[in-house]
Amino acid sequence: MTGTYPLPATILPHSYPFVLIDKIIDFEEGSRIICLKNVTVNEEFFSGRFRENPVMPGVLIVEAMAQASGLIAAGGKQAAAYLSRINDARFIRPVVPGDRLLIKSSVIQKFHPLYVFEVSAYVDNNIAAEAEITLSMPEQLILNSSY
Amino acid sequence: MPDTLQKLKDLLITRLKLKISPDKITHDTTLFGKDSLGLDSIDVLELVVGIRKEFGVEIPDRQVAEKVFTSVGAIVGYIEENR
Repeated sequence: MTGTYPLPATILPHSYPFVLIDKIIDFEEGSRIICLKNVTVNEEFFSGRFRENPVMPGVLIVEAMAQASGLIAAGGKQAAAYLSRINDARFIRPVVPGDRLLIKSSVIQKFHPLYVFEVSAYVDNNIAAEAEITLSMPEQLILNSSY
Repeated sequence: MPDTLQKLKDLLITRLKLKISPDKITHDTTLFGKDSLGLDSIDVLELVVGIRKEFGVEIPDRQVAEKVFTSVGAIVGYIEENR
């Protein structure tokens, strides 16, 4: 399904400065999502990593992947998901200020409350990172319905 | 069958990072409880993904998983029947 989606910041339980998804581009309930993260020079982490050569930390790319995947697991509800496992993470090219990070996540297995996702992050159609991520979504953490 | 068992042992050890010698894993080895491989629920999900990738065999839901993941031999049998 394509169309206009709510801002991730209104669905994710995260707040500033830890919302690492700006926009949902495409979403298929229970199956896949494509999200956008615009990486700007004003990101707080760039002031220290690295001062002369700003590069987005790989752990934050994984966090962005987890947030995008969490939107699938939550099924459109506001819910917290916890990272349970990260497999085969690869960081292929540096992500720098000005990059548009396109995150594509799809469910490869689910036994509620556990979900496994195959996730890739692209900059200008070039793969920047990929990982297999497992999220845990305890029932009681679903907060309310958003979309 | 021996080939499936050997591949499954490799899968268990490499994907789940089990610190156990392949020789110690037999058909009768259990996955949970006393004297077992000591797997947890996330390991089970990992194993489901691994079996699909390695053998092309689906374990569609938790009910099937509960029946299949009783012993290494039961998993081998399920793979052989469904591949």
